[in-house]
Parts: sequence; C-alpha cells; structure tokens
Amino acid sequence: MARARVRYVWVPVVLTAIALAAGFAWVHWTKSGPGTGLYSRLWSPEPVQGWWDPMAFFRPVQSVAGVFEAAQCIQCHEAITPGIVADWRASRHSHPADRAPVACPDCHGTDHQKLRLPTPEVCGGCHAKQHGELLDERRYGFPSHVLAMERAVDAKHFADKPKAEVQACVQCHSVATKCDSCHTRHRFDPAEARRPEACITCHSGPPHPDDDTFFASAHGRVYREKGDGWDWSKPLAKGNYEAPTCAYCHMEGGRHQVAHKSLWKFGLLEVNPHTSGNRVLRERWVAVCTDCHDEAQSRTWLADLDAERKTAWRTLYAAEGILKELRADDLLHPGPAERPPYPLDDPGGLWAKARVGYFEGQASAFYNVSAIERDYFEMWYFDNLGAYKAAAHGDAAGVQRGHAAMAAAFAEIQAEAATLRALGAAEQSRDGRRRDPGDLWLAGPYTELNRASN
Amino acid sequence: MRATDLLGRCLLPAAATLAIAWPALAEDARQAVGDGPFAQQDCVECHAARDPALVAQWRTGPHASAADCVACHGDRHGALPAARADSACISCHEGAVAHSYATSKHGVLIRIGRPDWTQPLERGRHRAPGCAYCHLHDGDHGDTMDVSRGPEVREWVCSGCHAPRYVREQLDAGARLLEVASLKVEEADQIAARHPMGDNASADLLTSARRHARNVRLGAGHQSPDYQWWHGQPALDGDLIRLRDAVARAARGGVSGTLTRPSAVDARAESARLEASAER
Repeated sequence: MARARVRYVWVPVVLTAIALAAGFAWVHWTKSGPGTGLYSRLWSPEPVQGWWDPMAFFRPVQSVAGVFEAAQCIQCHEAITPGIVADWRASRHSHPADRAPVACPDCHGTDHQKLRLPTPEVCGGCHAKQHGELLDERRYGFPSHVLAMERAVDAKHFADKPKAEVQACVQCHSVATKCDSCHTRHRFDPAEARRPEACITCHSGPPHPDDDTFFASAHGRVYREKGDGWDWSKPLAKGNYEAPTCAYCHMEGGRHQVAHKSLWKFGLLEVNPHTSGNRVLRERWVAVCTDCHDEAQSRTWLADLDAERKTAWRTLYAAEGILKELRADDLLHPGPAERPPYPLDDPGGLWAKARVGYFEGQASAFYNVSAIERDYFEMWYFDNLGAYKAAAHGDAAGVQRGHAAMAAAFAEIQAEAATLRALGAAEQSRDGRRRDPGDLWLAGPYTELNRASN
Repeated sequence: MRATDLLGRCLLPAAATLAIAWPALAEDARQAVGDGPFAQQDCVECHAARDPALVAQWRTGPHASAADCVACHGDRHGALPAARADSACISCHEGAVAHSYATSKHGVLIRIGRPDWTQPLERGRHRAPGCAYCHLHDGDHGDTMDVSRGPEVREWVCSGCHAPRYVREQLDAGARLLEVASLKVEEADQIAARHPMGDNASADLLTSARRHARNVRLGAGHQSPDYQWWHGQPALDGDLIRLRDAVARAARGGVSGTLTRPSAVDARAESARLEASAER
C-alpha cells in the first residue's frame, strides 16, 4: 500500500518534466519563424533590416565575386565609395600605434560574396573589454542597450503594424546589434562618441527628450557654451571635463554599461528606491556625482528625483483608475470588440484578450484605441516621461512644464470621462445600450492594409 | 579636318590654355567688377554670361522665387565657403526641416566635426554631408534631391559614402514608409468626410495629419528616426483616433473633448524649438 503511494509521487514529477520540455519546445518553435524573437512566426523582415540587425538578416551582395586583400578593396572603393575610404584613412584603424593596421578584411572578410557586416562580436574580437561590458547589461534587464533589439521586435505593435512602418523603430534599437550607432563608421573615433550629440539621434523626441533636458540643464549650458573647445580625446574621467555629458555620467570611465546604475528604468517602472538592491545602484550614482559635487547635496538631488516620480505616479494611477472604471461599465467608445484587433489579441480564439488602454497594452496603446485612452497614452508617454527626463537631468523648467501638462491632461481625462458617462447613460435609457460605432474604427485604407497583411 | 584632329589640334590646346589662364582671368574679372557690394541684378548679368548653365539651374530651381544670389552668397565675392555651410540654409529652412536634419547622424557629425567648407561639394571630400552636399551637390543650383531628378541621382550622391545596395534599400524603405503615411492621410480624409457637419469640421485635424506625414518624409529624407517615428507615424495614429472620435461624438450628439488639445508631440517639439531659437 505504502509502496503504491510512493509510486504515485512520480506522476507529478513526470508530468512536470514533460510540461517543461514542451514549454521549451514551444518557445523554440515560436522563435523559429522568418522574423526574430517571440513573435518571429508572425512577421518577415523588410530587406533593409539586414543593415540594422546584420547577425539575423544580412545577406552579402552577390554581384561581385572574388577574394580580395585590403589594398584591392581600397583601390576599388576609392572610386565607388570614396567617403568611407577617406574616413578609414583618418581613423586609428588605418595607423594604430602598436600593431598592424586594421583594414577592410579584418572586419568584413575577404570573400566578396561572403562579406559580413560587423556585429558587436566582430568588434569584440579586439575590443573585448567594451564588448564584455555591453553584454553585462543583460544582468540588469531592460531598458539597456544590449537588449534594445530583442525588446523592440518583441513589442506587440512591432508584430502588429506593417513592417514598412516599424522599420523606423529598429534604426535606433540597432544599438544592440552594431557598434556604429555611437562609433560612427568608418572613423570610429571615441572623441566623436563622447560628445553628447552622438546620443541624440536616438535619445530625442517626446518620450525621451534627453537632448532637450540635458542641454537646458546647468551641465548642458556649460557644455553648449564651452564644449566645442574641450579636448574630447581625453577619457571620461574625473578632472578631464569641466561639465559632465551623457557619457560622462552614464558610461563613467568609458565603461560600456549604461544599465548598471539604472533605478527608475527610463521612467518606465515604478520602483522603491530604498530596497537593498536599489540602494546599491544609488551608491553608484552618488559615486559619479561626487566627482564634482558634495555627497550630501548629491543625495538630496537624487531624493528630489524620487519625490518627483512619486508625485507623477499618483497622477498616473488616478487616471488609470478612471479608465478602468469606464471599461468596467462598457463606456469606452469604441469598446474592445468594436476596434481593429491586434492579431495577438487572438480574436475569436479560446483565450481572446481585450487590450484596453496604455496600462495593459503598454507602449502599444497609441493606436486603435479610443480618444480618452490616447489622451492617457500621451500623458503617460510624453508628459510624464518628459518630466522624468527633466528631473533626472536637472532641467527644473522642464519638470514644471511636464507636471503642468500632466495636470492639464488629467483634468481633461476627468472631464472626458464625465462626458462619456453622460452620453452612455442617455443612450442606455433611450436605446437600452451604448451607441454602436459601426465600422467607423474598422474601415479605411491603412486599417485595411494592416488587417490584410496580418 | 577629321574629328580627332579637331580635338587634338584645336579644342584640347584651347581647353588647356583656358584652364591655366582661368584663375588669372577670374582675378582680372574680379578686379574689373570691383569689390562690391553687388546687387542681385549685377550677379545675374555677369554670371549669365560666364556660367549660363548655373544661372539657368537657379532660374528653374526651387530657389528662383524665394532666394536670390545674395541670400546665400552675400553681396561680395569670396564667400563661397560660407554659402556651402549649413548656417546659410537654416536661416530660412528652420523648424522641422532643420530639426530633423540636426538629429540625424549626418547633422550630428557636421555639428561636432570641423567641416572644411573650402572643399567643393564633391564625393569623398567631406566627413558627413551638410545640407548643400546633398541638395546642391557639386555646385548644382537646382535641388539635387528633387524627386524629378530620379532615384539614380540620389543613389549617386549617397553612394559616395555608402554601399550602392545599402543606398537602394534605404531609399526603398523610405518610399514604403511614406506609402504607409499616405494611406493614413487618405484614411484621415475618408473619416473626415463622414462628419455630419462636413469635412470642414475636421480641418485642423486634417492639417495636423498632413504636417505629421511631412514629418515622416523629412525623417526618411534626412534619416532621422525620431521624425520617421515619434513626430511621424504614431502622431498620425493620434490624428486618426481624434478624427474618429470627433465623428463618433457628433453622431452621439456631443462635442469631442479632445479636439481642442494640441498633440503633446507638437507641443514638446514646439517648446524645444522655441528654446533653441531663443539661444540663437
């Protein structure tokens, strides 16, 4: 009897083992489509994506055949693409102090039909320290440079929208898959990468105005005034620069690791800054600030940032609460079933999902939603994150502007919710239900293309 | 006389003589006309005879109605380098045009580099392209990037620094990105036509949609991901949402609360632009 019972113990163990194996197999299957990532079976890359994610999609050109040495590459490309040859000649690669030149074949290979576009692994062949630091960001999760491409293609709207449209995203997210986002080819000059402008092609725009907020800060003002005259060949170390720039603080000492101090995670996450883990991160910030500032003062400024976030999150939760109540009472117009579905919502499926508003669709909720949800999205993603960036970079006017915009948006969301309630109640008593928007949200050439191509 | 003789005995020696004597002739001409200042009419009178092709390009190009010689070159000789610099262009082409370029890698490299504007705007002479390198390539006085010039011209200019296939695939990707934006504008027009008060009721939102579609075009042309995306596609998505909401609200017998609020994208771009211009 007892022995039989012991035998039953094996049932859950075996079932768990089977479930685990099936889980791994399923994830492997989802990642084995024409695209990459969790939704790889739902999308195929645009031809241009080979340049942004070379490891996954680059195809070497087949119109030129042959195996070439550096001198031959240069001879031909001096005529075809003189700009990059001139750039390389001016780079340290062409005349390093301590070794033979790093020439075309070292990075691209020699067989023209099997050329490669250098990935971080290729650069890491020599620059192992920097490559290792980049890979180390994985330990800290997202946002980070190293995970930028994976998380971009795993965003639901990347799978959902036309690939011709979302190829705009991967240009910046290619910071994970190529080194020349910052080390502009073919000069790869650290002096260029150290300038704050090296960051702004991606770190600009409404959800992350890192450029505007830094340039408006006291640090940024000193840089704008004097930065052109500084010696940018110096390392990012204490005493070398009169004011800090993006890389001085975020990549202190030239460390290619931007995630290891990140508490508030780009403003995307609500955190408790006082957990033991976050205190370790905070100390790393204090260590950077105290290169120039008094320690107590540094801590005060960082605490001000925490306070700013606390205020912002209160408003975000209040607005989210209003939206959730509207959804519970079926007052969103259009309702979940009346808007074009994401393919990932699995419409008509066994576990169909109602994707409603920012708080559930995350960054995906900027389209195919009702106006009040879009208001919430803009408040969350533009006003709130703008205020965060301003607070983090020391742009006091920007913080004020962001919070004023949040307050205005919140008042509008409240007023709009009241209107939706009044309209819904009137229609309910007149027709017995909220008005049906018909095909208003479902028709139109873009919406139809999107539905057809998914 | 055979054609080769004509070439060998007359034209080549003449060309060689002219090439050697040209700087002296030019110096003579400069002395003959004095130091200036010159008015527009002076420039055109002299240069129509000396560089007829160049003046003809200007006359048929986009600048003929908007900018005269003096606007870019100043009113004295010797200002060619200054006319090649970005600053000559952005005094007129400000706003989204200048900002989309300034945030691109090309714009960044010009900003932080030390561009040598004494160099002609030829392939391989510049670390990064300024405005004029692409649009007034190699002394072009029309617009080298004008769509009517055809894709081969753009491919030629870009491939001075980029692999030919890279250029083709980037240009194709930009064209498809713009097709998506055009579909959104078309959808916006169709939604506006459903407004019970007529499509004039949505005039502001339709203007906004066209502005955002233009941002996509500037983003693709200037290779600014920020303009392709945040100032472009998702902003267009917002226009579509607000247009639909206005139509739905009118049908429900209410006024759309979101109509009056300027898009946060534009508000932020506007405040950044104002700050930037205040600095200047």
